[in-house]
Amino acid sequence: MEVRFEIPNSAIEYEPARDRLLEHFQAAGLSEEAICELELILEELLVNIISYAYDEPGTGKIQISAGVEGSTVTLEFRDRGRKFNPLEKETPDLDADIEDRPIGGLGIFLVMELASSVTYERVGDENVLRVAKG
Amino acid sequence: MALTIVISDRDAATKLVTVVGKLDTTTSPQFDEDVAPALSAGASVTVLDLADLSYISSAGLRSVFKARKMMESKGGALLLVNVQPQVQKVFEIVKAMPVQTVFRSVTELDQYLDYMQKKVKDGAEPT
Repeated sequence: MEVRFEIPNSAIEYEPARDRLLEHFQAAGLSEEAICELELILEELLVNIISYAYDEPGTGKIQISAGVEGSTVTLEFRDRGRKFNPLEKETPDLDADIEDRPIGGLGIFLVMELASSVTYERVGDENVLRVAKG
Repeated sequence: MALTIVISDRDAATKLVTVVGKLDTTTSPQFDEDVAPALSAGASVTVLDLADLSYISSAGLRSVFKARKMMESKGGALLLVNVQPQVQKVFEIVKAMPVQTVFRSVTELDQYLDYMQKKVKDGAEPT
């Protein structure tokens, strides 16, 4: 089962895109727990791409595809914005006291923990982010 | 409504904030705004009841951190109770909260608050 669509890079596009993907996961029969974790992965990555890929909101496109095979889910995000690898964000120091650590990289850190694999690739003028979750 | 916040007085020293719904990119600004009055009130402890919080993302975590910092900056504490497994998992991954501030049940929370009150009465500083 695969779904593929494109959204403009506007913050208001996040929720409808999320709902569309979550409905797809529900229809594919994934567990509540898996869907909850997928929502988290989606939010962290898609909000990040919407906010940072392009200079101006509403000027670019983000292509999203999601596939489910058995209990394995693959997600792919593509945009033609500036070269940006979200995985290069510094890993937060989780042993430091919360007051002493920057909060920034937490979202990506969560994604890395919850997904089985996350890869970034610059293909031509596209950023391609692929996520697999078993 | 994706997020509902209800603030009540648990007792003179404790504000109870019931959080219902989802704490994400969309709702966390509302959380910050709605919870602010509880944090700036005179109470030394704010308890977040998360029994009906079904989801939290990094944006939500940031809001909870901010609330915790605000309470601690005035010598108080932010405590969490009834954290659901899927939310607990996110807190655990990022080691978001010191273990002594998260309670599984209201009973556990009450025991802790009683203990802290006794400590204060005995003249020791709460930690």
